[in-house]
Amino acid sequence: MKKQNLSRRSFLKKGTMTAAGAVAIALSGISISPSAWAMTLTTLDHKTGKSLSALCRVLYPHKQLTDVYYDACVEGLDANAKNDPALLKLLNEGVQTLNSHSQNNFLALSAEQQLLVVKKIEGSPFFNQVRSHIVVALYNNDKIWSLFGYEGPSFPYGGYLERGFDDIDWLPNH
Amino acid sequence: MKKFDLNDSSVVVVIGSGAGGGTLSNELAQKGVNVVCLEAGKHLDFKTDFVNKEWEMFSKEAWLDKRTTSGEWRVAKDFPNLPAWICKTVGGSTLHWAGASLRFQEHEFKGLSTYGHVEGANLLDWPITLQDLEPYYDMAEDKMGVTQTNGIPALPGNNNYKVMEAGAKQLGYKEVHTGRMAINSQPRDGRASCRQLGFCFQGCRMGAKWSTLYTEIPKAEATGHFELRAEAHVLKITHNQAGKVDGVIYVDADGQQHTQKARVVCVAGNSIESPRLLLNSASAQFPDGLANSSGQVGRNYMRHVTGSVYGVFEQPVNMHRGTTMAGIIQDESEHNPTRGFVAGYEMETISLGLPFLAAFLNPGSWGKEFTGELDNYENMAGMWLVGEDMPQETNRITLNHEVKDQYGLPVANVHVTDHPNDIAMREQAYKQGAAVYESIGALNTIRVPPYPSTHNLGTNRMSLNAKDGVVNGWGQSHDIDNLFISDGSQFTTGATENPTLTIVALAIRQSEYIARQMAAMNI
Repeated sequence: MKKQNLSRRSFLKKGTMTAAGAVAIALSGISISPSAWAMTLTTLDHKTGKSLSALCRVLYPHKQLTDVYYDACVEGLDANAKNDPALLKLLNEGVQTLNSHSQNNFLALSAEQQLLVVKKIEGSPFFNQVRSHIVVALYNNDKIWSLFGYEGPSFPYGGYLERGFDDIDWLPNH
Repeated sequence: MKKFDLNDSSVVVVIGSGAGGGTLSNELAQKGVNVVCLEAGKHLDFKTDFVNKEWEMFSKEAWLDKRTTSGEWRVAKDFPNLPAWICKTVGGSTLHWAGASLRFQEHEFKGLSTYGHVEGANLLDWPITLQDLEPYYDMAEDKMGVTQTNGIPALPGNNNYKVMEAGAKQLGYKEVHTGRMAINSQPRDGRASCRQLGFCFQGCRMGAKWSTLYTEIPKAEATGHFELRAEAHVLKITHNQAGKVDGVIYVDADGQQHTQKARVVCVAGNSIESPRLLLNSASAQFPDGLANSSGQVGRNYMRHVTGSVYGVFEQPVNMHRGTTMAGIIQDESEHNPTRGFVAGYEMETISLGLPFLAAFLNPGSWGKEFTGELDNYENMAGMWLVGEDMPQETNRITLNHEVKDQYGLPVANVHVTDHPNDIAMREQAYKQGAAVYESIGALNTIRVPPYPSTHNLGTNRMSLNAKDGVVNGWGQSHDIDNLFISDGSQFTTGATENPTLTIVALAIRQSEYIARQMAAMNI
């Protein structure tokens, strides 16, 4: 693969890189500063987007995942909401509900406090909609797989026949 | 490629191209019988369309037309519109299956005689025996290239298997091996051998696993007696005034309706769509649906007693490397009522990739405890539990007149509540599965509830007497002698074993009968 030589400045100059794009680049071995990307929303406002991203982390917290992966899920929700006014309304009102349980600022709460708020809305249509989207979008993102030890598609590498399909070496002997 | 005229009333129409329909089509075509096979799904090419990605292949191959659910089973809550995890493609669910190819045990053809009266169950003996089916099991194993039969070597065990095997031996289990699998352990029948890709459920990108998509279908096409019409969704089976079926109405990919005339119609749409089609074909003469004088069409829906156990270990397993169903423990498959239930179960390895494990490990679950389990992905081993469930009249497929499909027809509702025998078996299987992993030091074991059903059985069952079931021992309708059922819905009881081999054996046997009856002008 051709080694890319992009300066941080060229990222900053564009200033519109999506979280999904940043995920792709980060995994290609180029390091970028967290300020070089931004969640790119077309429908939701930024604070609503960040609140949803925080909700995603409360639902599926993983220390090894930076915010960019949760933001990428929200970009998907945002795209779905673009042509779905009912979903847009559900998301906006859902975040308002989160805020109403948080002295009007869910984002400002600690992770523990956010969890208590989310428990109050568990099972609501908003909660169910976001959760069922995230559980697919987050774990279907092939950029996170290696962080869990999942190796993904094997056909391009000839399967696992010569790549450790039976390499376990810690089992008791018989 | 051979084409048949819509008005050609000499053809056999086969509905569905999976293990039942694909096999039956080819077997008939090999005998010179003209067959039109109508398949609702698309025609994928395993070399260009199959990818090693779980959700992407799910969206390409799964049957996602709307269905509804009811009853106490957990699937109705977690996946209310996805009762079954089966395929809408040429090749049907032979794309998605794991390859396990086990013969039924002798007593499993005699459910009522062996288990006796079980309260709430609608048990019945099959009208055929293991001896009747043995020659066809032989043919099916040869056709499918089943390992450990016909001199075909066993597949090597992968990491997931080695963990299960070590635990099984620690517990004292004896019948533990890498399975009888319709996956090439060496090149055979023009197909490659397995390279331990994993992704058996996504469709085998090697073509090493038997699927009618690239075996029966092209072989049938080569005879000149077979036409496949993909994206041909059958709405209704028609009949004449004499009460014989005479054709089918279907919609093509462009939404155009056609009527294909037929001499014989064979239904192989799997155990949800097959009864739905019979019920949706109701007429003035058959107001309760075709072949339904017994009232048994759609009833006795079985899905096997299933569940999974995952063991979490201190060190890596990498269960995703290699075949999904890499081996089996068979010691619990016998009928041994001292365990507190009738019939038996198998333990077979299973592995899911991270995307599917997140969705199916504990559906609906969230939070730190759940994600902590996923963080152990690398150190997990997994097994699937599969046992015989009890047929119950009230577990059934019905038409949901409140919800219509894209063609305006009522969708299928799938109603399931576990029988107490099912619950007792699952509980014991969970315990034994966990014990297998704990015996070699699992830090933790996780009980996973049944996935949406992959084994769908019994909704047009075989019976000796017309009042007890829908078809006779040949899969021929008791009511309409030129109407056949050619899939797992004809199973009288579910048995312990994975059903595909038996579906294939029954299809081969049925093809001989149909050809004979046609030649004798009986149908």
